[in-house]
Amino acid sequence: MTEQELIIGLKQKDEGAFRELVSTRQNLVFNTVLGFLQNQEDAEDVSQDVFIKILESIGQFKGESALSTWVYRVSVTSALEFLRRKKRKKRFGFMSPLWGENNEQTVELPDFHHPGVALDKRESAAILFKAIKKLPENQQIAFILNKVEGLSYQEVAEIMNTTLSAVESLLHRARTNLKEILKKIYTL
Amino acid sequence: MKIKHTPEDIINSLEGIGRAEPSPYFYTRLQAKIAKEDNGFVISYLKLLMKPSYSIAVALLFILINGYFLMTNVVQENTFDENTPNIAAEYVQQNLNPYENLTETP
Repeated sequence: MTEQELIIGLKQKDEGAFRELVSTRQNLVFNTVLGFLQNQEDAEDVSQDVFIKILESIGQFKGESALSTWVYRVSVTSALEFLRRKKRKKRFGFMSPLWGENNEQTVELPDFHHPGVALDKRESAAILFKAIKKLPENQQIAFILNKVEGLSYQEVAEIMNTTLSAVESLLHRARTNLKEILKKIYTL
Repeated sequence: MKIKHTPEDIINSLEGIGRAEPSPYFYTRLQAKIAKEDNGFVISYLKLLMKPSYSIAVALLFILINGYFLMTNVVQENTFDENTPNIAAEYVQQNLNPYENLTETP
């Protein structure tokens, strides 16, 4: 099925086209969303929402960019929306106790281990993922798309709807900020 | 916390990273979610109706609309009362002599 046929099929709510979209893009969506959420269960849930959103809003897709670019955009937006919602819930969740009766910590955030990272780099990657969370949103997007999803600067620029030089600058700033964050958090 | 890696090592630790994949039967679970969302529309609407804030808002709206119609009716009633003597006068004038027809000779 060509991309054009796939788009037409999706617009006609053809189940075969939808199945094709999911089977060819589920790893792309899941891996991108996982980079932001750093939690497998949440990432699966949000990935499903991404495909539902695509199905609902395919009529708005004008074909000005590649379908994958649009799928990436929906994935990034959905992941960021989820994180914002989670942050809001956390802000109002101050009533739930963080500390147990004996002053033991009841909520402990586990380290995130990306399944695609080699075993010898797992520890460093877990530290890096923690630091990525502290980056400004647009630097986070550029860094995850480039480093986790392995996209070129040009592809990142298309997804972020910006220029190549802007992406270069974002990635440069992201690296500088990450170094600062890592220095602050850990004694190296 | 002492760590043996440099920041540069940590930043470069994602090089050669593989793509993560969702657990098997992703499509089946997605279909189940879509079906659940379709069925859940009516239930979520009913749940919305059950919410106290929604019920109070609907009750307030009902009271406001009733109040508005009640007020406009009162004004209309007042207008009717003012016109009533005129109407009565016209009626009396029109039927000044109800036996007028009886005076005519057959």
